[in-house]
Amino acid sequence: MKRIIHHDVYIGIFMLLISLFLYSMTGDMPEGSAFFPKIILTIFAFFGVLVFIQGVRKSKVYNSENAKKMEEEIFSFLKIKTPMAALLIVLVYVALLKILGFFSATSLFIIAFMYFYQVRSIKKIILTLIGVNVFVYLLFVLQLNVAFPKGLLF
Amino acid sequence: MVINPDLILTVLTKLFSFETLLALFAGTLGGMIIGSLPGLSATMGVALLIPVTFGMDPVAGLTMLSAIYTSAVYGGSISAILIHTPGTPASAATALDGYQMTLRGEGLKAMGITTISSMIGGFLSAVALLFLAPPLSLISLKFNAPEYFLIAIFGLTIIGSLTTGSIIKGLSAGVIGLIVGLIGTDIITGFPRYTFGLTPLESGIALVPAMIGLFSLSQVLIQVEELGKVDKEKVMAELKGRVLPTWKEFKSIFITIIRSSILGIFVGILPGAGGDIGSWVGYNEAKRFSKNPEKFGTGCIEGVAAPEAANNAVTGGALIPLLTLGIPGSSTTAVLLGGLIIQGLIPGRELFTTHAKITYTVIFGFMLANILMGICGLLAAKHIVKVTKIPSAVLGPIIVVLSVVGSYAINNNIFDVYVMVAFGIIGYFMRKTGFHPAPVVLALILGPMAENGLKQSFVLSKGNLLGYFLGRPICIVLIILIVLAIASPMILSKLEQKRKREVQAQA
Repeated sequence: MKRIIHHDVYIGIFMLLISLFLYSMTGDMPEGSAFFPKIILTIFAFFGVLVFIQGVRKSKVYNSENAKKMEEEIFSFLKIKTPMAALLIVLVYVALLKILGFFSATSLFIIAFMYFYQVRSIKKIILTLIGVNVFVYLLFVLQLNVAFPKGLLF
Repeated sequence: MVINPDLILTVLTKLFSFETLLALFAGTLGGMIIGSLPGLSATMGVALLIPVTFGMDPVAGLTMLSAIYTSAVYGGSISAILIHTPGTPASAATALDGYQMTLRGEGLKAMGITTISSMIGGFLSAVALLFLAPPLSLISLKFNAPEYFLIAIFGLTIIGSLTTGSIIKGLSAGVIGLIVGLIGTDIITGFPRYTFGLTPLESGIALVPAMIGLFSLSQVLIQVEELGKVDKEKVMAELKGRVLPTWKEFKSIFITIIRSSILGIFVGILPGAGGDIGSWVGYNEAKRFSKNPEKFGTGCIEGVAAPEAANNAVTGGALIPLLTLGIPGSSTTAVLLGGLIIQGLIPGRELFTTHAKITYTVIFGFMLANILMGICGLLAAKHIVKVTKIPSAVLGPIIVVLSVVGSYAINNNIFDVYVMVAFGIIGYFMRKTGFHPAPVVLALILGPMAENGLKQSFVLSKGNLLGYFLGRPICIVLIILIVLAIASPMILSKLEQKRKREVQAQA
């Protein structure tokens, strides 16, 4: 059987690395500014070590016969493919905001996201699309005078 | 408290203006809908709507936000009772007995009891807010740098220890918030810390976009996980019977409601402990005091009334430290603080002197919101549960668009949208690995307060920091509270383990 390593092991190491990296940056700071970050980062590193130890302990339990007793699910990137795909759509949407303009990017996003959500009814998609755009226009553009990025289109 | 007739008159005129009443009504109804949708919490609703209040009159905007807060907590129980899915975490305790009543065909009665208990709990907490906040705000005058430093530390330790799950992870989440709070120009030396050469970061991470990302975008990603799994058909039992309980029933739960309300107010005042904790405390205490505790869980009206009065009482309680000291009493009030600051209102004594008209109008508006919520609930609860049928496929894209619009609208700045997305990703991974995002937000607010407090204390203490702290009575009290906050969860978990071992030994 493959040895399971609990995600807390990696998180603990990650927390330690982050605090080391940020701590190294305090060298360039004036003394007054560096003081508080140094305290916080030391505490963070300390918690990193604790999370790491917890992770090692949890991994041991997973690999022993008590594994079934553990309630916590092991985190793995393979299990979160769908949310990552959704995140990609959101990232493309945000990147397009300035290029295409707010309302075109939003409309494209709604179509893409609903299609991704396995909605195949054109009527549903169009109704949501019109509803959201009209709502945002009435409330934010007319009422609150927000100037959205215009981009190439609108 | 000296009652000033002029002030009351201004408050009433402001409160009963068209804009305020409209905002109040929209907030109450909107909050109920947001709350009843599983996955949308009060915190998220307030975070998404702060940008909308930005362009409004402060009174109307803040009244709307506080109305959303209390009615979302109430709305969560509608779905908890009728479809056994708590709309917000604060309603998990209500689902126990509420759904059992629905199964018995008493869904409407359960709704009636929930509505009345929530209304009384919320109203009493508003009264507590009205009478406790002004005198407590006087304490803030005695607060100097060391006190602010210590109360920030107290807030951080208590939220770390109160979040469910691992204490270490709870505290770590707080430290993550502190680190994020470091980003930006240091006020005292003017040095740009951790900006990585990005100019927009010099003013620090914008609070509201970060909160919208942590609470809203991450929630959409969590819900996407359910995609492809067969949707559980949300069966709704037929609703019949009367909504209002009989006088005898009301009398039997009256004491429970009052006890839960008082407990809820106290839990609310504690920094970081929100409605979810309040409702469990209310439920457990009602069970302990009850003559027939074995009925709890089988659908008894006390089991519905207790958590409901408590979780709504938390709302007013949580506003007390927020308005007087700037310490949020729950994650929703942490977000609300963002709404206050946007309106240029800084918590403290000034809210009750210089800005008294605004503050008292908002408090009275909050009181009215609780009554309005009760009336709307009794009339419309049956219909509101229908919104829970909106599929996530429609809700998901709407929340993402509103998150983008909201983050952008605050400063008309596209960089804030990127901040929102970054925090959405951080929030998602934190939630997946057992870290809660609420401490991050609290620490973002308390971090700078702690740093400035500490630095100024150094200057004031002339080198002898410990002696300086110990020479101030409020500081000593705060230090004791901090030690208790750190030690109590460890002691409690030890006791819990011991109890479990004893139970196992007996079995």
